[in-house]
Amino acid sequence: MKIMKRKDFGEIMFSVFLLLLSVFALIYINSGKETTISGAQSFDFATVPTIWALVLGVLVIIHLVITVTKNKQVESCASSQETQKTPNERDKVVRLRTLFTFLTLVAYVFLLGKINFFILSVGFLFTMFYVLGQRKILVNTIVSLVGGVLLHLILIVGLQLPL
Amino acid sequence: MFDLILNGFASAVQPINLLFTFLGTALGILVGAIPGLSSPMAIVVLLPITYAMDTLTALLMLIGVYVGTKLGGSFPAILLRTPGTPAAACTALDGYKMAERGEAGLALGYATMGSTFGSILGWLACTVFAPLIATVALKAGSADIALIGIVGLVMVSIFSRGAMLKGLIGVALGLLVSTVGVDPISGTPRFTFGNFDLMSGIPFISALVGMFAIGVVLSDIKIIGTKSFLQTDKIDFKLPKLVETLKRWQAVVIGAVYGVLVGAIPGVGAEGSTWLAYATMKKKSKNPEEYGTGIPEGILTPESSNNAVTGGALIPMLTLGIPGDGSTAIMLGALMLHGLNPGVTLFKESPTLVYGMIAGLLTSAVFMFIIAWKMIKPFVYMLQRDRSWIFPFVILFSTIGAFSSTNTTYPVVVAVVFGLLGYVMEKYKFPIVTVVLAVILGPIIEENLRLALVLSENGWWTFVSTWPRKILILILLYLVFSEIYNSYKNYKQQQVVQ
Repeated sequence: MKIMKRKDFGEIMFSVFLLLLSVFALIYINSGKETTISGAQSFDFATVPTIWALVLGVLVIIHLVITVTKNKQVESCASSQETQKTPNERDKVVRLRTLFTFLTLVAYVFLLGKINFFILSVGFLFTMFYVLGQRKILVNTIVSLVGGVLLHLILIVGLQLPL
Repeated sequence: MFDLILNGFASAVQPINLLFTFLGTALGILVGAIPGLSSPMAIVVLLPITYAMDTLTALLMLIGVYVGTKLGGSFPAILLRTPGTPAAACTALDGYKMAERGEAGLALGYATMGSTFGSILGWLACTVFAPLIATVALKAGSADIALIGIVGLVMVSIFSRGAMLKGLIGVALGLLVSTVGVDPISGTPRFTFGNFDLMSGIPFISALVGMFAIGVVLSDIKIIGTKSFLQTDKIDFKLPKLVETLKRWQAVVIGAVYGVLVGAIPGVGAEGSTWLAYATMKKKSKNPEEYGTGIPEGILTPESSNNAVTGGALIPMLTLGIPGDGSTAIMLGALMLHGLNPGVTLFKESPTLVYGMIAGLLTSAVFMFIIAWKMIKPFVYMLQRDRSWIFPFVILFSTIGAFSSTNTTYPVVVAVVFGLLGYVMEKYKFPIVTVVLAVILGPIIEENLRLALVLSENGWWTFVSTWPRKILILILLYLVFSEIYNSYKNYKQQQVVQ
């Protein structure tokens, strides 16, 4: 059975996303108007974005062709007994940490400006330390509080940033 | 010109400027010493602090960070065989061997000497060549500026990790993103979807913060929890005698020459120069088999090269507005934040600032030497700390940086989106520096491209109407086609092997 490596599949999906982005940009910027690049007089607001979107689309197509072709060659050369490496426990932990870091960051951005900066930064730091593997609650709390105080002193009191 | 250099020095040695140069250099050494942190990340994190500072003071602090990280990266390379920065990987070859023999302190001493001399030679090259190039650059027209920008971006693509296609994809994506906002000539909204925030375009600070801080932290979460074991518990820093370093002057000079030349090419970065310099010295040596066994030349060459890059990278940044690497890209952003227009006119419009920045290369080199000589123990302590305590602060500082620019969440949202994009790109080995440089240079290229066409009677032929432009086009074509040819050759070789 031909198995595409997980990493190549992800790379192909990312390339498809870029291709769709370039097609969308091409259609959107040119909707309801004519664009030409034959002379300076016809260089309008859509010309340059059209050129960049076309270049992006062409490059991504070339990349997709090369990646898929390389994948097929690797599969045809692989022995029949070869199995795909399964993610180990550490890989799963890393993925979960990455996901929760991102979600914590999104929550922080959502609450920025709505909650007092000191409280928000202490909460963010505490959550992040826990997500990244520091499980001693007392130590986390102390470091988060000290960090929050330092940030408040440096950024708000010292630099007068409007946070 | 000499009085401008002196004025620059006079500004750089003001007490407040010296203080921030010192602080920046110390922070740079610390950041460089901790694997997982990088110079661009540190500079991006410091950006919010620079809002309230005088422009020169801010830039001197950032230059201090830039110079300091180059030496800092050698500490874990020597003590742990884990380079703190990619450029220090070469130092590990001989540095770690010396540490294994019980000469860790001496290895650190040679690294310090090499870095200091490299920085000084880089400063000298920048002082001499930057004004000359700036004078020539002033005569550049819109077509020249557009071509230089395009050639710069193509070079970045080619030299970034040797994957030209992925680099070019990053460039095209960055250029497309840079068109979001309002058309600079007609004022027509582009890709704004009726959103008022998007009318102001993509704030490049957000792109920098997202890519270099958030994206890199997300990518580096995998190194959290990995243990670092010091080669030796006793680190007695030992500075080699000056005569011992001067005896090996070729190692220092060759390293520095490579550093300056390669640093001046956008996108190559210090790691390229260190390996090239090391390979050259090894080839020249009467005893090449000694390289990699723990000889001083094996440390002096890459460290000198590493630090000379700082002088080289500043040359295109200050004269053409094209950054030499990620760190100078962010410094370019800092200049724009302070209301300056980096590009061919910067030397003319702000000479005191420019010469002050160049002088900062020298003052930070001096501070770097003093800090490493007298205060190395705290840095050695820090490099063993778990990154889980540091990464949350990096994210916090960088998002604050994005928020403070407009006091709205829009730039922070943009930063998070770019952070996710940066993470995905890092995962699939697309060079992120290409996107960032394209976002910064895109508007400059577009404006000059259109201006050149409007002003010229010959239309597109204006881009080949002078010899400098023809040479730039030829360089562009040569770079692209030679890379395509090399890739095709590699592909054919792989076919034969299979």
